Order: sequence, then structure tokens, then C-alpha cells
Amino acid sequence: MLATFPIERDDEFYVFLKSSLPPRYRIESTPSTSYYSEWLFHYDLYDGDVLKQTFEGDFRTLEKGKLVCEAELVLSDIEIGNK
Amino acid sequence: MLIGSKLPPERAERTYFHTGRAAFSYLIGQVIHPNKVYLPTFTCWSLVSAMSRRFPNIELVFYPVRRDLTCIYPDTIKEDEALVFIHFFGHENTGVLPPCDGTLIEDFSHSYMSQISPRGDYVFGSYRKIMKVADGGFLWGFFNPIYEPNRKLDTWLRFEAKDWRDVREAENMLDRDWSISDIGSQSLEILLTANESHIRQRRQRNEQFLANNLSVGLPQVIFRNKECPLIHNRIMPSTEERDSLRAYLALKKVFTSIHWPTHELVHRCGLDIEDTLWIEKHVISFPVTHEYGVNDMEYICNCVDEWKQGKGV
Repeated sequence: MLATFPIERDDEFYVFLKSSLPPRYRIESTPSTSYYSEWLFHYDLYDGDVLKQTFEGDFRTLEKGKLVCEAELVLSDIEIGNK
Repeated sequence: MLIGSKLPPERAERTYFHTGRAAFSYLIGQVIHPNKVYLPTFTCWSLVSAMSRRFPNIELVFYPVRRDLTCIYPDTIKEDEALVFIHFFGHENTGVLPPCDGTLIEDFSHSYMSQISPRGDYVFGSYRKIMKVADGGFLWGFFNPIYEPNRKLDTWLRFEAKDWRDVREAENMLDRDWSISDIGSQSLEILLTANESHIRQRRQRNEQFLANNLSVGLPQVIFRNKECPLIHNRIMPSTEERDSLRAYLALKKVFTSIHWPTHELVHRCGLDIEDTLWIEKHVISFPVTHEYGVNDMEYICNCVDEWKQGKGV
């Protein structure tokens, strides 16, 4: 099991993956530079230098639990070699 | 006299929190219990956010701040009311406070390294404004909060950060969700061993250099000798020039900010906020942190000169 802690909330998505991904992978955040933009997110998942997936949106309108599921899926795919 | 080995612990003169807004919220929710809280129209939005999110049933009322940072306080503070006042950017707010049967709360976030004698009933603040720490807030005096659980993922992320993006992401995490929790041990170690005199002197020297040598605009604040500047705020003639200068400086790797953009609740408060908006439209905030030396301030001034000479974007 790769996870460093049990993810409980969508808001933990970025730290969960940043702390859990094997060294070959990395996740990067590109936050908005505008004031009052804390709810917006943009995360890029890389395998080496190859961009594999982008997650972006607004936490206020996000379906609850969506990023929790996505994070767990990313790790399980890596574990079973699908990513 | 009792002699024994199992004695109650000593009590410190300061109570620590994960953030300044946690200290403020503990004070409002667990200590004072006011029915009404007054905040300045010119303020860091985190206090406004703390009130609106944590205390929707407490009436939040704003009082105007003039462009010279003079506060227009309410006539009186009643028994069930609390007034928050701020020493903006480390500069002592010496305005006459209103007659008060309620509670005066002093925000020392900008001024805890300025040598200011507090006038409020309570003093709180954030440590992250001046010191390069991952977290930290304080309340003067001994309190015994039952802290809320927090995994402090934002703190973890700050320590992992290699550039502004993860620092900003951590800040966003904190803005989205925060609790009344304790300070981290790394931050506490840094704060307790900080050389305050050295920090104050470096910041004073940097701010003074910018005040004397920037070739555009005018200083918003003239600091006194005992004060430790948070930033150097410069008032520019127009928003267009301010924005152009900020953009040019960013190209030169000098990152400035605006203290502060006006919170949406202030926009909707119904008061005359013309001066607060005027500050927002004209101010540019330069860093003067003690990590920098006069050579860094010279670089900033040179870049501003270049912009002034027509090389602006």
C-alpha cells in the first residue's frame, strides 16, 4: 500500500498524492495567482516528464468525494501497473 | 508548604495556536462570547472570513478607515460587543479608542516585533506575517484551549515547497479549511530562538532604504524608531501605473502585493468605503523582510528606476 495516510476529504487530494506517489511519478499544483481564488484547483500528474492527467475545478462545486476517489484510483492503478 | 514530585505544570504567558485566525476564533468563541464584533473596513480578509464562517450568528459590523489609516470607530462599545483594532503594517495605531463597556481586541499580527504597549483587553496575532515559519498564532496570556484535531497537511506542504506554488497551495488549503489547533514544534523552535532585535533592525533598515530611495509614489506609513515594519507600502498616482510597475517588477523577479484587496462583505456593508477602495487601487506593497539586505533593496530601487525611465510593460 502506497498511501501515507488515509484520505478523508477532497481537499487532501494534493498532499495525499504528493506524499504517496512513488519517485517515478509526481504531482504539481498550479494555483491561480488571483486574490480570493483559494477554491480553485489545478493539479497535473506526471509519469517522469510525461503529463498523464490533469485535475482542475472549483472545490465549491465539486461533487463531494470525487477527488478522494480519484486519488485512491491513481494509487491503485500505479500499484497494479495500469499507470 | 507542600513538597512533592508530581506538581501542576507551569503556565506560560502566551498561548500558541496553529494560526492567528485560530487564536482570534478561540478568543471570540470561547473567551469573550460577544453578540457583535466590529472590524475595520481596511483589513486582512482572514478575520472577516473567520467571523463569517465560524460565527454566522454574531453580528459583524465594520468601521471605516481613512486613506491615512485613521480609524472612524463607533461612538461606544457596549458590554456585549467587541472591537478589533490593528496596528497596520507594524505602525502603532494611536487613535483615541471609544468609551468601552465591552471588549477591546488588539491585532498584533503586524506589530508583535514593534515595541508597542497594548491598550486592548486581549492581544492576538499571526506569526507567519513577519517570521518565515510554517504556522503559528498567539494569544497573550495563559489560556487552556482544548484544541481541535488537525493533521496540519498545510504545514507539511509548506515544508515540502520548493517554490511559490506549493506555498500558495498550502495557503489555499488553510483558507479553505482550518481549525483551532496548536502550533507546530518546528515553528515554535524558530520563534523562541529568534533574535527580535536583529530582525527589527534589518527590517527597519530595509524599509528606510525604500522609503528614501524609491523614485516613484509616496510612502503610506512613516515608521517610528521603535517599530518593526511588516512591508513598505507605496502609494502610486494611479491604478494603471501601479499595475504596470507590479508587472514590470514581476518580470525582474521582484514580487509585490496589494495590502489589501477589499473583502466582498466590506463591499456590501453599506458604509462609505471610498478611502478603503482608494488604498486598494493605489497601494503597492514591497517586501522588506529581514532575510534581505540593503543590496536587495537597491536592486528593487534600480528596477523601479528602469520602469520609470520608460522601460515599463
